[in-house]
Amino acid sequence: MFACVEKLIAERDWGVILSVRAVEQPGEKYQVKALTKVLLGRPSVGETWYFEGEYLQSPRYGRQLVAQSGYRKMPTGKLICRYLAEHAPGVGLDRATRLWNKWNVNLATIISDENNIPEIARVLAPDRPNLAVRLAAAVVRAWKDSAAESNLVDWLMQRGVEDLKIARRVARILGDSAIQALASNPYILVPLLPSWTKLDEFARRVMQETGAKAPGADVRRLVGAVDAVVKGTLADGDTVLTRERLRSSLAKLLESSEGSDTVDAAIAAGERNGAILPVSGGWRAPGAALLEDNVAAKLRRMLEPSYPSPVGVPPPDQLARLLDRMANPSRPLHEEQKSAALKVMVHAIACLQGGAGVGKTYTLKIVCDLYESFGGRVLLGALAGKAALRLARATDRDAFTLARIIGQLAERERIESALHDPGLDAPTVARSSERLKSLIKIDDRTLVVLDEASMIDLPTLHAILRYMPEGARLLLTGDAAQLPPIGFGLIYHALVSDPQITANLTVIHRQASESGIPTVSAAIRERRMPLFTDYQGVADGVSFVPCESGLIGDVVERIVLQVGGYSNGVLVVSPTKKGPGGVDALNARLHERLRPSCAPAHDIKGFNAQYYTIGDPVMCLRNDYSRGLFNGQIGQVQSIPDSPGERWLEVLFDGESSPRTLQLEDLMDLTLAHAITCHKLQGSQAARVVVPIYESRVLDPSWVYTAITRAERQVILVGDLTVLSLALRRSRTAENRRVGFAWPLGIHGGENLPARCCSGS
Amino acid sequence: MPARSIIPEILAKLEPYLELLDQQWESQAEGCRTPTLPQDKGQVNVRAITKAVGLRQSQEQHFFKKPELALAINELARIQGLRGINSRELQDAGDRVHAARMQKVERHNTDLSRSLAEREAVIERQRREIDALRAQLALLEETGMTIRTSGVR
Repeated sequence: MFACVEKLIAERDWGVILSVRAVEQPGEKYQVKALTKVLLGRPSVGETWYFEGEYLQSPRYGRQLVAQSGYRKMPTGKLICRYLAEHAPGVGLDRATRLWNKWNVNLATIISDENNIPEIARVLAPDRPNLAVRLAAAVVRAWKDSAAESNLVDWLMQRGVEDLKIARRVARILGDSAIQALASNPYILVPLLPSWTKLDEFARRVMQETGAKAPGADVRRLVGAVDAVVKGTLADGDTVLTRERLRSSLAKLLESSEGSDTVDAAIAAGERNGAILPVSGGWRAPGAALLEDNVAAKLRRMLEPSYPSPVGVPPPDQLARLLDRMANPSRPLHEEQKSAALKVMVHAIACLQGGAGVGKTYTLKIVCDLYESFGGRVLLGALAGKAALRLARATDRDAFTLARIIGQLAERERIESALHDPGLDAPTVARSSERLKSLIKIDDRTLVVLDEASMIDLPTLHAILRYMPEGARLLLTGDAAQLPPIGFGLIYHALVSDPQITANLTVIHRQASESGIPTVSAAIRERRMPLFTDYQGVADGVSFVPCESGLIGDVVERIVLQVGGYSNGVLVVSPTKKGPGGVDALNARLHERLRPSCAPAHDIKGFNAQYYTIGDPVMCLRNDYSRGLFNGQIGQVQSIPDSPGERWLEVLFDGESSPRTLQLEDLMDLTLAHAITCHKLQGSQAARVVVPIYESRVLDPSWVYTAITRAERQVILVGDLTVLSLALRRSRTAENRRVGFAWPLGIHGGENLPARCCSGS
Repeated sequence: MPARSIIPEILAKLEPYLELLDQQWESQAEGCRTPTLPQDKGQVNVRAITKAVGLRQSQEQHFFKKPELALAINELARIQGLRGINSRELQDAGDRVHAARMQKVERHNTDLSRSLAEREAVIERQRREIDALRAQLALLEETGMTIRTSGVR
């Protein structure tokens, strides 16, 4: 509903609380509480905004609308002056009024065009040309940015698309031509709209509005369908489409048969418009192909003799002597570790590969010590907060989550670029320079070490490589027997097949094997059935508790209660979301059974039938690099509101020192985490892991291996031993992933794909 | 046919005369030079100059009315420490030169302001393009896809 902002009650980084008057029902007043991220812009007094959300009756504030979205109705007439005074820095009401006096009702048109900056500058401050141009640019920017978003939201809402995030992204990419671009091809929204059915409905309506005769057979729809198949392929982790997959998926989307002319026409249109890139046996997804080729080119460049090496690494014989000196005398390096360390020191890109208990982290620590002794810098990164903590402790260095690294490098880039503006005022320069000192930096002397690299997807590796200047080095450590990344692409698995850059560690060391986990996981890695110990409650080792599949939920619950819940470092790793042993059912059970006595009687309602209380482990479901949050990050609820009407949580995430407040909007990207699918737990660890084993298509050696290696001390498998035995005979998930990344062959010429791509299973 | 200007004719006589006086000034020992221009209590004597260059007394007025002539004498007067010819016309002429110079500077400033503003417009457009490309890159790194910006064929 539309409301006029009468007062700003609170204005903070997280959002605003406003006192508003309803436009449709004059005299009706209420409060609006809105997070910054659900608003398109910042409200000011006197503006008209459209808000959507839920009404709450707060004992303190009366009727309050908790906004789920809000956008400004762009002002018209003389109100534009007020808008510019509020939103164009340095302009003020006097100068804005000068603009109105000059152009009157044409003002909106004038300030919508950068070409008018010279004229606007003359009117704003004729006697101060330097200041005037900056103010004029600020006027155009304030108007265009907001007008593009608001007009687009209006346009989309009228056509049933109500997601502000989509409008914001489209407006940022297409600017003030967004509506025109969408009207001319609504299917360009494929990457952003989750459902093909909804997009297709929306797009057909728009095409009818613009006079399309047969929207169903329109080439825009055909190309849109190809884009949608590409999107689905990427969601499955592949970057290459097979002929069968493309034809069957297109037939489904276009409601046709696989051999139909419509499907042929769609494929031809897809190729013609670059929606798919033909290669032998299939097609590459063009966006992913670009990322893959960029990564391949960057990594290849690192192997060229001309790649700069500002940190002088001595020859191997000298390195070997230094290695002996670096190692802890009570824990000398094994010959295999020594030669691995030497190998990874030689190249600017290298992989350190091995299973659990082979001393990867210890070898890594020595490599880091050595590199720093030559004057280099080391930056350590891991997918999950807990993994970063473990890495930091094992190497005696700071380690960060990849989300934090990318977020800070992006912020650094933004600040450094802003500092190039000679017109920046001195306090801003000082503040920005100070901030730069605290941000992560990669320079030509940095060795970037990424742990658990087998789980790093293509876009994440691409983002990190983008920030690495010439001279910087990359060391990937991981285990290709683990599950492939959640996101699309497969880089590490391809790189470790290159012996030139890969050092393999295979010997399990005594001190690591005491828990039994390395020995059992080594057997699973080789698809052998291991020997399990008997389950006796809390004890280190790997045990198997047989049970019928129908009872699996009960048995898992009993075991979790015996060994303790998340507060005692226990996580359940399940193959599926559904079913009695699945994540959903177990989370619901454990949420109730592990409720602490101090927790209030009421729960906080999240989304997707999730309820939270104090002590519940929760998991983030979306990457948000700007806030340092990533998909799969685990935390624990520290406090909830006293009033059941309010909906927020305070969560302490792994690896962080203070809790974050998650508002209602954030709860959409949150889930309970007593039980987690193995994919989501990648990169994370827990002291004790309970693993239900029941028939599921995801169960394969890499799934079981990944689940077991998530545990630091104890693994309890629960279920059917026959199912486990069958799972070990299956091929690994990574072997089935179809990708276009080629190594060491380099970028494809467009004809051939590596064997992995088209062989499928 | 326009009337012939008297200035070149007078200048033809005046300049060699002033050149001679300047040489005489220069030939004196530094620090104890006395002015060589005709003078009366430190003020240039225009009548004496008129006579010295062979002009009629009635032509004396030109030195007051024609800045080109007065400026040539005043330059040497300034060097020799004398007060130069001062007249309303000469002041007006000076004002005009100054005003013209001001106008030129102002024109130059306006040109600079204009080009500065035009450059700002280009920067603003490029900033918008960079923002759009960054947003596409972010979308690419998140979804593996970008928003199609060209038409389909």
